[in-house]
Amino acid sequence: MLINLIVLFLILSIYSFLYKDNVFFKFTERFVVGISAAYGFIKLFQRGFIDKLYIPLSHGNLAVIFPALLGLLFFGTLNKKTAFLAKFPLAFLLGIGAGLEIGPRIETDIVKQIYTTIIYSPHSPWFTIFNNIIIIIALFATMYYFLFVLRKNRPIDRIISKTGIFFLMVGFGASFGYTIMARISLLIEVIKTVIHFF
Amino acid sequence: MLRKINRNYFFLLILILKAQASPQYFWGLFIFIIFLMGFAIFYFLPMKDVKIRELGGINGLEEAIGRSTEMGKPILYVAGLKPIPAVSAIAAMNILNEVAKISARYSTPIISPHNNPVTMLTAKEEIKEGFLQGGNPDLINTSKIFYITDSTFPYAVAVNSLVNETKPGAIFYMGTFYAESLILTEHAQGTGTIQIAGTDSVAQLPFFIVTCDFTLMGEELFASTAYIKKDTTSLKFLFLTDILKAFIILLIIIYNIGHIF
Repeated sequence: MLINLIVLFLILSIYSFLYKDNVFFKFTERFVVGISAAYGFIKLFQRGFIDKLYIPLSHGNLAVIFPALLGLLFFGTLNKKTAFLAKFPLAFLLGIGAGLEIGPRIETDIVKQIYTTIIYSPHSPWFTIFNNIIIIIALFATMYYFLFVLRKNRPIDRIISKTGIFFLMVGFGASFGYTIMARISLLIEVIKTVIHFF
Repeated sequence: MLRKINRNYFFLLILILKAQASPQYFWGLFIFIIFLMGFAIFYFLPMKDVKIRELGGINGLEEAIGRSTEMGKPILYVAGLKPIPAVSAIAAMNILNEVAKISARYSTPIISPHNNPVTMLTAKEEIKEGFLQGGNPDLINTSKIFYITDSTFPYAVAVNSLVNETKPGAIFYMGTFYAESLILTEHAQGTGTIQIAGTDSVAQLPFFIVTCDFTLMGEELFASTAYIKKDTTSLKFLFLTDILKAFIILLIIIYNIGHIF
């Protein structure tokens, strides 16, 4: 009962923002941010410090000392004189992060996309073939829009780019509508929770 | 230079051999062609006359900061929810550097809330560097670049509250965003703030397009680095990705036409 009452209070406080900024909204906002920050810290301490440093060290895995030392350099920012030390782990993260992301991105963003676009099937009904042709045209025009150096400002370039933008906007419109439907179902759930209380 | 080429070809040979040993030998050939194109572009192609097409979002940076200065308000920079090793976060930091440079020229303060401490540290460095390059180091205020929380919705609520309290003249959203994108931009639009967004999250692009004044869509966010810097290496990379895209278009069209006939 008490939990339900707190939930109701938080929901109504957040929705009170629709009228104007007020003390109830501010309280709930700080409350939620504070709890999530504290939860994030505990989660990070458990998964980062305990699971990845303390447990391996207690099992005699000394290799984890090096990344831990690199991480400790972040504390250099606490003092102006040692602030430069934080640049070393930052540089390491920047370099390795970009490199690590490129591999999976080629697989998901390029290879799989190409496979799913090669769609011609000789035994398909005519409307499937028609749809496939539209997909190919849409893909060509959209990719043409995203050419930055090769695309010039000739009339033909403008026509193809506008076609690309047209297909993009059709896609965005569909995506927008779909998400709004999902948000409305969330709103219905919240209203149900409030009605249930009374 | 020759040593460098030999070393690159050695790695390429390993890649092709590995690819041919697997059923995905096609991708070995693909990587080989890309490598050859990259090599040709990087070593032989002069890039003096190459022009990048206009990016409205980047052109709008100065306009947005200028308007903010006229109104005597700070600007707000939101650097997305993916932490710094992500490519989108790196692109967001490059744009932040440019924003800081322009802000330094106009003497406009920057407020930047973050949901990741590493991203926050990088943002501090970028802003410091931008203000130094812009010739206004006295305006550097690192206390305005802070961490809130790494949870999505509390972060969105906190940013909205910050918008209410500070009433920024311009807000920039750069990087990867999730379900909070509409919560952020819709609220800020109600306050009459000029908003510029850039994201690689395809699902969030419709919301940014609807609510923001300028939007960098998908790859435009990554191309913005080359557009801002306009240095030879960035231009060559952009040219290479253009050729790669043209190659993929051709590949798909040829394959489909080949099946029909």
